[in-house]
Amino acid sequence: MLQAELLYQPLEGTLDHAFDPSAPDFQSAVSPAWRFLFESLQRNSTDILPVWQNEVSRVSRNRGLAYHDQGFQVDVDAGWQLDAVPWIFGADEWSKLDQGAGQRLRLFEALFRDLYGDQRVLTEKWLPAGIIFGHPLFTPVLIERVRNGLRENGALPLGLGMSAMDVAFRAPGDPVALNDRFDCPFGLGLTVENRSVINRVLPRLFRRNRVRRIAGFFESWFEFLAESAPSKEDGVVLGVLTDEQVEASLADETGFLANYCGLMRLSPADLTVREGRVFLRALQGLVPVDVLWRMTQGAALDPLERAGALQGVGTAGSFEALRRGTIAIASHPGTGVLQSPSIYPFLRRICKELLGEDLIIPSVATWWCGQKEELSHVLENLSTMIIKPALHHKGRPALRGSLLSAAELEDLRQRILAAPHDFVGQVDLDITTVPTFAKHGTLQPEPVAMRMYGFMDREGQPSYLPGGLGRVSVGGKSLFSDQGGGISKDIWVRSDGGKGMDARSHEKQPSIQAIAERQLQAGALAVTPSRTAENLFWTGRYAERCYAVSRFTSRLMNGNTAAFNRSYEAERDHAFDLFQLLNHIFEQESSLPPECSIDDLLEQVFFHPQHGAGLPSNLRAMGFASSQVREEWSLISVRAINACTRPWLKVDGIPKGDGVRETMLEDLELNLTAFLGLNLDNMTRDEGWAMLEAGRRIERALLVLGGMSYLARSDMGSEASLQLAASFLVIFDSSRTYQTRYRSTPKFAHISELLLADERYPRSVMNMFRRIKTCVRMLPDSKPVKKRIYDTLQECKDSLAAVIAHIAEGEDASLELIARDLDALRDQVGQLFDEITVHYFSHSQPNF
Amino acid sequence: MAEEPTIRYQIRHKTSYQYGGRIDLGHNVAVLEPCTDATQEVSSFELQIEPEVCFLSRREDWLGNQAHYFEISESHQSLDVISISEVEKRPPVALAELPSSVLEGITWPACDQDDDLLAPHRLESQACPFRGEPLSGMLLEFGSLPKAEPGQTVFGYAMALTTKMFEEFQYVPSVTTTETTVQALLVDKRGVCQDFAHVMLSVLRQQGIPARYVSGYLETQPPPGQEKLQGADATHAWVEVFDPLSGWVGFDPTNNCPAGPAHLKVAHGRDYFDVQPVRGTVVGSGLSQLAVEVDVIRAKG
Repeated sequence: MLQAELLYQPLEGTLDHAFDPSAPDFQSAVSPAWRFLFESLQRNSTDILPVWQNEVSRVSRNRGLAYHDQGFQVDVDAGWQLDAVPWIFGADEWSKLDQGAGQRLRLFEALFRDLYGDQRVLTEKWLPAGIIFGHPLFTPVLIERVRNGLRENGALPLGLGMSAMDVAFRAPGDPVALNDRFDCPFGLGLTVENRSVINRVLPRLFRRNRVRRIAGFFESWFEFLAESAPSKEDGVVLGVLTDEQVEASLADETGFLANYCGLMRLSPADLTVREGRVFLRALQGLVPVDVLWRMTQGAALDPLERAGALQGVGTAGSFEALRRGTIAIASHPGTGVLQSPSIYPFLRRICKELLGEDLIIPSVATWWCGQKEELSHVLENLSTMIIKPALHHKGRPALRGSLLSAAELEDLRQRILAAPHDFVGQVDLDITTVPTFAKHGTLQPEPVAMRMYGFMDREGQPSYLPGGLGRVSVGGKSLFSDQGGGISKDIWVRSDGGKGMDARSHEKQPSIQAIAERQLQAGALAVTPSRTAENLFWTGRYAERCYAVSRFTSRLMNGNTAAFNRSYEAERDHAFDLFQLLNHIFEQESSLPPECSIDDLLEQVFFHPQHGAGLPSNLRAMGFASSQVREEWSLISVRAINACTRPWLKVDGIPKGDGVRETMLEDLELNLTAFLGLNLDNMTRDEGWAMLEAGRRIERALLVLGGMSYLARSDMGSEASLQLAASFLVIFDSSRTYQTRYRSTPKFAHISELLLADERYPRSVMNMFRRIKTCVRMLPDSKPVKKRIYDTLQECKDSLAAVIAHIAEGEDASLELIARDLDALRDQVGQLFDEITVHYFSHSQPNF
Repeated sequence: MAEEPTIRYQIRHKTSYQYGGRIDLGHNVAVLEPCTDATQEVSSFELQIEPEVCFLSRREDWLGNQAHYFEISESHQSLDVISISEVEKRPPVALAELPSSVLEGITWPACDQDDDLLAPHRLESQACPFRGEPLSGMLLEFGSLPKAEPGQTVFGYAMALTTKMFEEFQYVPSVTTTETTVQALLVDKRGVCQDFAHVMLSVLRQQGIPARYVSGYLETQPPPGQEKLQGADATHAWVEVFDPLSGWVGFDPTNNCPAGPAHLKVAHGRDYFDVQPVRGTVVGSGLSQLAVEVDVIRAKG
């Protein structure tokens, strides 16, 4: 016997999806879809909920993908929180919802084709033209494309692509659409992530409920994308298009999706248009792209065909490629106009006219202030309505009248009167609740809405993800921010039980392997985008640099223990020497006086958030470069990166206190080593790995050469410079080897032999050159380019050999000359880097 | 009535970019091909581009203009785009002979006889806003005078506004850029034909009158007794106003006249940015310098 009322009580006067208090007995009070959950809670008592919630937090944190308290940027948003209690739908309930959502999708698809085609909805005055032509995301330059596409090919061009609908309920089974989103709707990655976490935390409950799996949906989506390719002759190349630099939350979102679906993540800068076709700049050269899954919001896809200034992001010529039908892009550019809530008052009529059907799921009651009567209705009811920008919501939040003061209401009234066409009023709905834990720490009813995701396939059949992104209302009722974080919920859709279970997803999961295989067949996975390569290269460089700086820092902090008999002055002088050495290596100018204290050095350089030679800025750079290629890392590598960067990039600064930073430094060195070691062990030996490796080795060669040139300049006779040389060996992890091999105080000739000449010693520059050669060998063949890089590398080796020979002359060698030769060699290595950049990253050279 | 004479014009329009550095890749759109309409016919059009293009395509854009898209992939430091057109021009019907609707109580159709929507030409556009203070009040004040008369027609108002623009605005080259706002223009009252057109469009659209930007050329006459200098002509801009009885008719606020036999039209749009003659993006470095030469010559014979 269930005793649900002891576990959970819905709010007075509010309808709840899980529990109906008016039912005659407990059995019928708990809705069938929620029965297993309540049974489980009853068996374990609600004490199990904090355990679930903790587990959710732990799993989320470890995955480190969608949820983060701290990203690589210092100022990231608060992020999302996931509630351990899912929102559960029965099979029948969902199938009705699915049908209604599908109709809305068909309707918007038809509206989209009409607006970029014949525009009957405007000429017949079913919809005021001002709503469309006044919308900043309406892209009239694409009108002809759809017209011509319809005329010439007879086939329909790729339509809306991935779409979303926010839906809330006035009562269970009585859905209302709050928003429709088509311009790269946010949250799909989060939805997948939520599912992965909850599935791990509640595996038994998940199985008992026979929750429909979501992999099948992605498989269909992928098939749809592949089938949309204009030409399928040489296999299909697909990519996820994102902005080059995205907010952390969106980087997670797209990185996760790219990872999950095995697609390349591309930014507009990765692409170039040649002869009316879109190409990817890859290490292999220019690779034609067939289909893009666009996740860049807004209109900025083709800077050539946007009004106003031409600077900025995008791929020039991409609209021409669209017009010529050489590429399919979903979401199609220009879909943003459909998101305008001012369309809602007209949607019922449009549905009747375009589809010949009655609208199944109504839109939330909306009044567009661009019409006289509607305007006065909104102004009369301002204090009870939700007021939204009619045209474009980005950066302009919706306002809830009931929360505004009299003065704020008056201000809003004036703003509406000044530009009535730019506002709508909507009913602030009383919506249903579901059991929620995360908000109060007890099981409480909270008003919720959810975002459903779907697309229309090539045959015109809508397909919806069985599940979605559940969201807990911020202030009760039906207002939800568009991105902004908050509490989210996994959505469970129960299958019909037994045989009726969603056969496709049940039997064929995990289908993602199938996706990856197809990509592989198409040769797409063998392509490394140049930007990916460049970011891997820089991740490698910064990782080495971070490691070196952390070694410098710990030497600076702990140097006194190695020479405890020295005076404080000597210790401070040594610290300043180290600082000068670091400056020389990083080619930084010092602004600090020689008499400054060790603490000054630490605060103003090594721990300073902005200093170029300090830890935080180098870690930030490493974190940023690695986050741009998130899909390249294994989950455990992501954890290692996060463990390296997060403690040092906290908003409120680096923690202080005795021993705290020492421990942090130790952890950092350990985690960096782990990260670099993981990549050595786990990464496929492909071009990407070669880039990471090349970055590391080039950076290390530069560090050692810089350090050696500084040592050559310092007088190796003095006690201080001996101390510096000793520290140098420690910093470059060579102290013990040196001791074993030479059993002497540091001598320049010996250090040179070890760190420059010995090809077998893994920290020597000669060894670096050999490894760089291995990397270059792995890069895609382009004979003249590779020969040039080999030549430069050979010149570096020759110069190094000459320096080594010079040093071997012993007493006769001029240290000043050696220092200059070392500096020249450093420039040569820099040139090597320039050549790699020009040929493999920027493609700015002709004949490539 | 005697047959109006047809004049044959040859137009040569050269746009040159000089770049500060080498350019490896350039994508461009040119809207340079004159349109064919009731008063003019294009008998030939040629586009010469230096360096050589690796790709060129021509299409009709959403406004009905002819647009050329081209790519240049060879390394270059300068770009010349030369368009050579031959246009046969008939003088348009005199304004006085055109029927025009009385403004009071007018109902605008959703589209005109060419199946074009009027909406884009009645709304704000990037270069021609009219909402928000203080702009809205300034435009209302500037546009109110001739409208006060009862029984005023669409074209009557447009002509009165054309005259007011001509009288109050000074034609001064190089004091404005494509970024200069209508509001700034209403304060300074100096600029070139493009600025005159944008201000007039904002005023007209604020009144609810459909109006569009026209790019083209104007044949200029040399001082008496002198040879016409090469490159002496310029690109020109004026506006077209819609009347349900007569369709689109041109008005030139820079010269205080309806568009006449010397107005050779290339394209129309919501404002300059829809019909920019040459726009492009380049991959490479360095600022660019732009030079334009135009010759409008009457064909002999």
